[in-house]
Amino acid sequence: MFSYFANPVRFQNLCRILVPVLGIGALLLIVPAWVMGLFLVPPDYQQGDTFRIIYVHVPAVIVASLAYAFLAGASFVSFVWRHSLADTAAKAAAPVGAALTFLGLFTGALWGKPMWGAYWVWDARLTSTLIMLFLFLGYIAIRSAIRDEVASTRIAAITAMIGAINLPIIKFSVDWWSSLHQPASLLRAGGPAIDASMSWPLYMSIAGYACLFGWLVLQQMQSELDERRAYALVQRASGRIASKASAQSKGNPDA
Amino acid sequence: MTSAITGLIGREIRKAGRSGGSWAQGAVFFILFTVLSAFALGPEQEFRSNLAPALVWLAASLASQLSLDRLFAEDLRDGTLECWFVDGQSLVEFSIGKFISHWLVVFTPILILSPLAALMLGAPVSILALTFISLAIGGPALVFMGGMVSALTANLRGSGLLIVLISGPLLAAPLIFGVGAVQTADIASSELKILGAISLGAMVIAPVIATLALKVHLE
Amino acid sequence: MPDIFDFGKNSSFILICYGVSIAILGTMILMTIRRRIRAARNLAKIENKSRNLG
Repeated sequence: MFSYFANPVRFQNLCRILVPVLGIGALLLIVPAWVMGLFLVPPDYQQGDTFRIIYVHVPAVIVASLAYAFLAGASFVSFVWRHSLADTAAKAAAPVGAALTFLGLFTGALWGKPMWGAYWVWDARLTSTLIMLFLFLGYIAIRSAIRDEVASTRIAAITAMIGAINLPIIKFSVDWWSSLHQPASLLRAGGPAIDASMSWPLYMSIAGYACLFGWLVLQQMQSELDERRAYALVQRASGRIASKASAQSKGNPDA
Repeated sequence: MTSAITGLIGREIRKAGRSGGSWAQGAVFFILFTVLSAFALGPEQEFRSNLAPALVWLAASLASQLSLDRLFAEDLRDGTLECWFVDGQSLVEFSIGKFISHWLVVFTPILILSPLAALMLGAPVSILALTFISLAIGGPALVFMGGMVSALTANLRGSGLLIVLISGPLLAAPLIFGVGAVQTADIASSELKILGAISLGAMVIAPVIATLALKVHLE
Repeated sequence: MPDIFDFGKNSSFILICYGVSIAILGTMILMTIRRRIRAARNLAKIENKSRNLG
């Protein structure tokens, strides 16, 4: 019990510094990157203006993969060392990761249509991103399905780790599969190395999305810890009231 | 294989025999799926025969996931699992025994019917043997992966859809290489070898992960 | 539509991508802040009460 409360206190202190830094960082990186990407960067000589989608697509996909790695890592720590903070982190990261994965797929589809003539191609990268969305959803589903707190934590952690083993296998399989059945050149046509004026906003938006991910996860974790602490206090108070009442009914106020 | 596992398998098979034919659900689903897909694809012979390997594999991988939600749930509820654990017997052996009996009881009928299903869809006779072989090699992957997921949800009632959501992404790799192996029409294709490797991997990893999950439920 | 939002023939694709990104990220941010405020306020209230309770 004591070690449980000792750890979150240290965590709250860390959050007091990290949350504003990440929040302001996300704001100062994403907004300028989008403005530059939309209005200031010159159009690509091959893709025209359409390449501007890169500044919302690539950061979403990259940070979504980071989010899955984070989920799997936190699940591993939570499963092996029964670290409850790691579990809180995993729980907070899953919905954010799912939303980012969805955004990556959605913007990718809209980018693919004018560029390659198809909203969707069964390429290794697209397929494993789609599978990643299912992994996030499966994690969230199994977590909410199991009522028992400890069991749901540990089973969800195992689920996340299975997914982490599965993702590279899927990627390899689809690579193999599409190299046999499809012209692979389609998606490799990302174009040659892009100009510095185009790449800076991209790096900024990736860093900004990463900051935003960290900010969202930390805020959700703090909320979760507050809610749990409030719950524990209510439980304790109601226990005290109940024991007082039973002591009074026995006519023994000293008990 | 230890006597504990063989004993468990024997008991499971006898239980399946007494259960009034619920073991045949997978095989019935398998045949029904192929019949309905024949209707869905229409009368054009060549079109159907091109799709036959894919559909047979799809039907088999879905049918093998049927009734998985009960694989561990009953043993957890009625205390069989706890007795086994308290006895000091290995939970890894327990899950291996359960997977093998599910493979024997549910998957073997599907495997036996698979050439017939392929024939019904109009597949050329030359690939019937390969369909059977690829399913025989890939079957353990389907059963062990699905069984592993069913260990995760052993303490839930009506977890069928949840199992599919979690095991679905796992089935992608065996499906890709299973169908690929049939399409190469070559008994020594690398697809078939990779499929075998996936099966072996699943046979090693799935009992370990199932054991971790079962221990959580027993705590 | 003002001129600066005109990106040629694929304008709608670009604007939808940015629009949906802003909408989803914005919703997540708002929901997170709302939960944060509610959880902190609720905890403060309960801590106050339990302190008064003794």
